[in-house]
Amino acid sequence: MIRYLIKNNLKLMFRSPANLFLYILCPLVILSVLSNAFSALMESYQKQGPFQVGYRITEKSFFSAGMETFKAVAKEADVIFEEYADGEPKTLMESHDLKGFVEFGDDTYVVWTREDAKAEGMTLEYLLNAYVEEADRIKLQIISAMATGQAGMPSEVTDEGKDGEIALDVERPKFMRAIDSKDYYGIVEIVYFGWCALICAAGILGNEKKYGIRKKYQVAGMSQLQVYLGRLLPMFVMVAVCEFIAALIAQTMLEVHWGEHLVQSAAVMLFMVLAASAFELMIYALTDSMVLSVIISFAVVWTWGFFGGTFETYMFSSLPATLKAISPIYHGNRALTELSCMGHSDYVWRSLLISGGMTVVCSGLALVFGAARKRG
Amino acid sequence: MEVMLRTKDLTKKYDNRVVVDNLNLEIQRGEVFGLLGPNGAGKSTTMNMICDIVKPTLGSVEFMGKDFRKHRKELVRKLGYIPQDLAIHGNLKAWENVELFTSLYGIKGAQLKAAVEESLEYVGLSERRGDYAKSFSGGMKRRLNIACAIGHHPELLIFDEPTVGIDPQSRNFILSKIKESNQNGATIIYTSHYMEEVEAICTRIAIMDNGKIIACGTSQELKKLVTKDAEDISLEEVFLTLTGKKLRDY
Repeated sequence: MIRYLIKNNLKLMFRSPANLFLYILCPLVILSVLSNAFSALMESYQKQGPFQVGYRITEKSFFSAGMETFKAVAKEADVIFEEYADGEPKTLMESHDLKGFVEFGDDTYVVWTREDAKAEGMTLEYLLNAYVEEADRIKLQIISAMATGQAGMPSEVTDEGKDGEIALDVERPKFMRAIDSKDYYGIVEIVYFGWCALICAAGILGNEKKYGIRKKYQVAGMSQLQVYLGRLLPMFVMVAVCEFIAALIAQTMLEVHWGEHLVQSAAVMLFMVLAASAFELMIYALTDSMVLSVIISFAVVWTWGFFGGTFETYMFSSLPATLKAISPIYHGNRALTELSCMGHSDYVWRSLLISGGMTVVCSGLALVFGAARKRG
Repeated sequence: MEVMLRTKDLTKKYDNRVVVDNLNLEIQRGEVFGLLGPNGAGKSTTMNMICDIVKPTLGSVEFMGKDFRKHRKELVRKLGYIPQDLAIHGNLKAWENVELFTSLYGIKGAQLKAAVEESLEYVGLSERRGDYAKSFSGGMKRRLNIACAIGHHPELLIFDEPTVGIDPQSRNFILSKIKESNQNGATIIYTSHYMEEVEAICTRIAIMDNGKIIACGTSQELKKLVTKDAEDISLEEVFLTLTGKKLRDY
């Protein structure tokens, strides 16, 4: 029975021109406006010249093995590393006009950046991330090789002889292509409007309540779960299809670059749409008022968007990292923009887990609220 | 005669207000049972409890000899509910509305298609099957509302004021269809504020006030409660005599 409910709810959603306007046209218009408005800022980030960074490294540092390779590769990316054995990082940065400073410890590192050189700081962070990722991969191979008595020693690891020290021949890390404003806003605005999923179901849910259609579902013996899925799945499909169309238009007509890992990007976006739908249906189940639900949902999603880089790019945002981290939109935005410009992102799994968790928790709560209301 | 529906001490309280008070009803198979009462008498709450939309505070509903709440899955396909509200989607076509609401009873595929056509034919909307419900007149929407509730061939049909706000032609059509359904074997529960309608189609009528049945019987029996000569009095006069003329502002 749920098949026909989903089918007909989908028809109702797709027959509303307002929905197509909201999920396809709105993000395209806003991305054009914002990408133009912020293009100068993003350009400064994109076209920074060579800059110097100081560093210090401990004798037993895990990073020392591949340091020379790393410095060479960094130089190719216009980041010049100079070693400073003594002195406070802050003082050194000021006295030598360094745009950043890295203290490599035995197994960790600390990055110092400057307020007036955020773009350089970001580049430095991405560079280090890529290096550490590669080094970690090789470290794991060494541990595994040692455990198997050197039998499966990876090709990157060579024994230099003398006192049995192992040297790392780190592969050149891939560096990010700096994201431009068009790509950034092209991605995040489509994501943001996907978070307004409740709007596409507002007419249906309003009618169900106003005209007693919910009573008919009850008389027919539909379970809470069936009614819930009859709402959630059409919302998900509707918003996902619209996002796909908007993304396609953005790519073909506005040349928004989504990167090469489209499956990962699609998964991040689809999970976010599911989470948004579940979250907003939970609000509706709690309030049983469409007006109130729209207001609450909009306020929450706007705040998440504000923290998560929907309006101001998260790279240049001065908001504390914890505020950014509580926004599910931030994790999704970061995953998608990094996939677009770097080809990989640590935030992909994080975003998928957050969205998946939200979907499960919010669905459970929506069913509990619905059941409580029925009992009342 | 077989009892189709029985309510036992059916009671509903909201906070401390008793809306339905120890209601004991018996409706026989094949009856057209009318339920009358002023606004706030408890008719809709009674209907909602019979359909298991509202949980009773006390008491139970027995449908075809079984506790309805306990045997819901088995019995639900035998019940059809036509709400007072026009419970249809304006942006769906007539056939899509009927398909949606008939499918809720587990009917699918070719059987569903046939049920949709049959229901639309029954209410005289076959020719407008492809039109959006929002383009229909009030009477057509009411007929569509009925079509949405009969596709699964229920044995008990509950009509909650099905003729509100429509023209005499549509009303006449709906009443004739209710009679026809009854002749085809369906048991009907019918509520309305139009006394002449109730008198015309119901075999038995109950008058409800303040959550209780204050009178029950054929229209002749009800008339005899207030006067010896039943020919001289209308059902409306009986109703006003029994329930009083005071306005019910709830």
